[in-house]
Amino acid sequence: MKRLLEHLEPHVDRLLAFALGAGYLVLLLATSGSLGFTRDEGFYFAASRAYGAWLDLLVHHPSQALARDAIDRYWSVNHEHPSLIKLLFAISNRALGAAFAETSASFRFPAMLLSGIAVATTYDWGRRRYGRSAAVVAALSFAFMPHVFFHAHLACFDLPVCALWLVTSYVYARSLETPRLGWVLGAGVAYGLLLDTKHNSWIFPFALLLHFALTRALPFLRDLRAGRSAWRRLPPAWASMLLLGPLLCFALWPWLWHDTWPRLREYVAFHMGHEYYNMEFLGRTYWKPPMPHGYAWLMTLATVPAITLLLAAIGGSVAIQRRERRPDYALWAVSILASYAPWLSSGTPIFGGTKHWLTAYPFLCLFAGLGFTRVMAAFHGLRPRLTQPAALMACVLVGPITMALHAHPFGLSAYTPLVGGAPGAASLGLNRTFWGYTTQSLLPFINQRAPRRGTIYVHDTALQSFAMFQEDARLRPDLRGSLNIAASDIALFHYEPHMSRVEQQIWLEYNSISPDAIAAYDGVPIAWAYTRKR
Amino acid sequence: MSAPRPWSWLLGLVPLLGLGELGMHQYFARRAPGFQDYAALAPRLLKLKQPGVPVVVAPAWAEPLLRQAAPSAFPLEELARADDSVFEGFLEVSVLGHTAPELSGFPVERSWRFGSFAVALRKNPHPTPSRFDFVAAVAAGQVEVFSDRDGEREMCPLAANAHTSTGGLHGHVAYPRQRFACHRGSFAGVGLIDDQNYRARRCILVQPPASGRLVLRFNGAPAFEKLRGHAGFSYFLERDRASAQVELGAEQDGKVLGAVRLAGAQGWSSFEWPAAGAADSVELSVRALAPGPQDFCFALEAR
Repeated sequence: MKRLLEHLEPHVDRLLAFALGAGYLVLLLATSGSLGFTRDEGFYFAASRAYGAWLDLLVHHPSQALARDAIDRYWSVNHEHPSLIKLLFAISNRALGAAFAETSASFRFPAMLLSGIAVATTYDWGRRRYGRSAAVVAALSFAFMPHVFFHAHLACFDLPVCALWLVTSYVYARSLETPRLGWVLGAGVAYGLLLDTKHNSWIFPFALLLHFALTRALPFLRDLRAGRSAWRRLPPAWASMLLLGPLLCFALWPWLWHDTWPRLREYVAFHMGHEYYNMEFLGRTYWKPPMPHGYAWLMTLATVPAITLLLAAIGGSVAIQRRERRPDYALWAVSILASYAPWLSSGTPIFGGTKHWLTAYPFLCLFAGLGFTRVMAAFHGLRPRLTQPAALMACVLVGPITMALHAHPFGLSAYTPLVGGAPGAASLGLNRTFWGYTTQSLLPFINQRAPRRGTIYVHDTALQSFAMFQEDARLRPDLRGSLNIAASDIALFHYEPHMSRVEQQIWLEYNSISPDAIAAYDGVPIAWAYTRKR
Repeated sequence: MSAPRPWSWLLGLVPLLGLGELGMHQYFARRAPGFQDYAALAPRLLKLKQPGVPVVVAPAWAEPLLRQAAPSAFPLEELARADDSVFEGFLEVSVLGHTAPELSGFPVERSWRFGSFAVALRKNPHPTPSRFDFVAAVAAGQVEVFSDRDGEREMCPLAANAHTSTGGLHGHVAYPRQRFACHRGSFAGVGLIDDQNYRARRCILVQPPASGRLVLRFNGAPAFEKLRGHAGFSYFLERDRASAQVELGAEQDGKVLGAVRLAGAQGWSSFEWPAAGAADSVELSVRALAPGPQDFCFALEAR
């Protein structure tokens, strides 16, 4: 046994990183079946099926697949978002579909896998900077942020872009540390994947520029003034990211293969002029600018466990005091700043809640790990053994883990004790839910009460998501989803203030103000259903 | 590791804060009443509930749970009331110590405690009872509706079981099954709209004709001092429209009492018109000022 341990010792950290990532993936897969499908997932399921069909064509009739009309036909679906993640959903569904109990899990798997990679990367980066125990704290603090745990399940882009931002930063940091060709090229490849994931990637270069300004600008300027070759101070990874990144993004996104510039312009224009959806914040519904300046900050305070935030604050102060590891700490800090930066403008939409700045969270947790080292230092040499790292880790992790697991499957309704939990947040007028995924919690009622071949008014649930409930055999196959209340036998309502008019229409149409089933989280109604009395 | 600083003992509290947060989470997660608590409250509440005394739940988010447990405590005309001032009192159901901000000026006359709930009868110190409720009159079919084009009037008959229509989230409000339907698609009936707080308001839903006006004539209204009204559009649908979309006017035996022009961005707006002497016929007219269909809604009471 001892020999085995000695043999394993050099590999412990790799094994631990793998165990953390794989363990998280297993947990996500185990809990996916009880989480409903968000609106956006419905659209991405449909897009992935189209891309999958194109892949089939590519395999069997490559020349047809590469013709413009085929590309336009298959890739115009959801072309306002980059292709990579949907392509991975499609590949996973086609190649691994049989391995999963539910079709939805095969679509969700790549995003879950990337979430696991993000947890493992957080651990590895933390371990390199401050050791094993604190790195575990960083990784698990990230994994069990309640909103991260929710988003990590979804066939969406929010955790994937968070994971790829982290991985790209990690590879970039390694390329600065040891500018070997592998890391330099790796940074370019990682950035290409990030570019082809979500438009958050556009902010990433600004983070790197700021990082350069903070860490290398002075020697760069000195060299410049002295007439020395200042360009040698530029990170070699920049060249690779500038060249490889866009090329890889282009190569993996067939929609851009024709009419490249107009389509790129359309992509940029879509996100720069994105429609403002409604979002409740402190009792007011915002649907047009100016958006509240405090939104991102208050929502972070209200949804990230306070212990994680406190540790991150301690870690931040430690980072400021320390002279070593500055480039890494600076990179973590600029990633956080860059992730939140769009919400310094009151013109930036807030409709997606916390998912908009998820890219900041692994870095916040890396600082939390750093803060944990300071807490451990304060207990150094103390007795009893309760003050040993494992006990301290348990103290700072048991809260986040409990909260995240407790919030499932109502992830977006999860709020921390700082605002009084879900009841406190509802009283404060913070968003209770969106995306229509809580239909899942009403399925037992629908399955039991809907008439044979009945029609369900799905409200905020996308019809494609409704169809996936049936494909996964969570919902009776004889039922029909509809957007017409008047034609329905059961009407669902997902609570958001601006949608109250939907419930009011149900009252009149069904001649009843009394819900027949309510899905509640910690005593707060989230979604409810009415049945037509005949 | 760096040397301990003078304040480093505070760091010793961090693990305790972690455990403290866990404890607070458990407390908040269990704090709010559950379904069984609302079910237990329902019969007690229904014993206290009197007609004309609306039930108000504080905080408002708990209301669906009580609507489910005690539906008869929430008649639609009270739940979606146009105005609080007409009611003599309210039955406030308080959860987690909350009170309803809209009732803050109404003193508590009696209070009860039922498990996790506090129930209070709050009296309106200055109720202004209605002498004639125009919404109720339309609901009872006690109105004549005309489409008026340059003085030429065409009767809009009552369709008691018309085809209902709901627009869903982005579409029109629910068109009531019972409505006075005119020739060119315009109509009047009792419906609901969402106000600027997205709260339901029960009102006379009118879709005026593209040209001309829709007239509602009420015969047999008792003598009154003033008309008090509220009007608006579905706020969600029309909140970006700042210029006047419709004009609502009132006449008493041919004498003009007043008129208001309304736009969606104004939300649920109130107005008052004085009476023009004793008379038993009141005519209300709605005229579109902007092109396109207008689902305009108003509530009016004679006081």
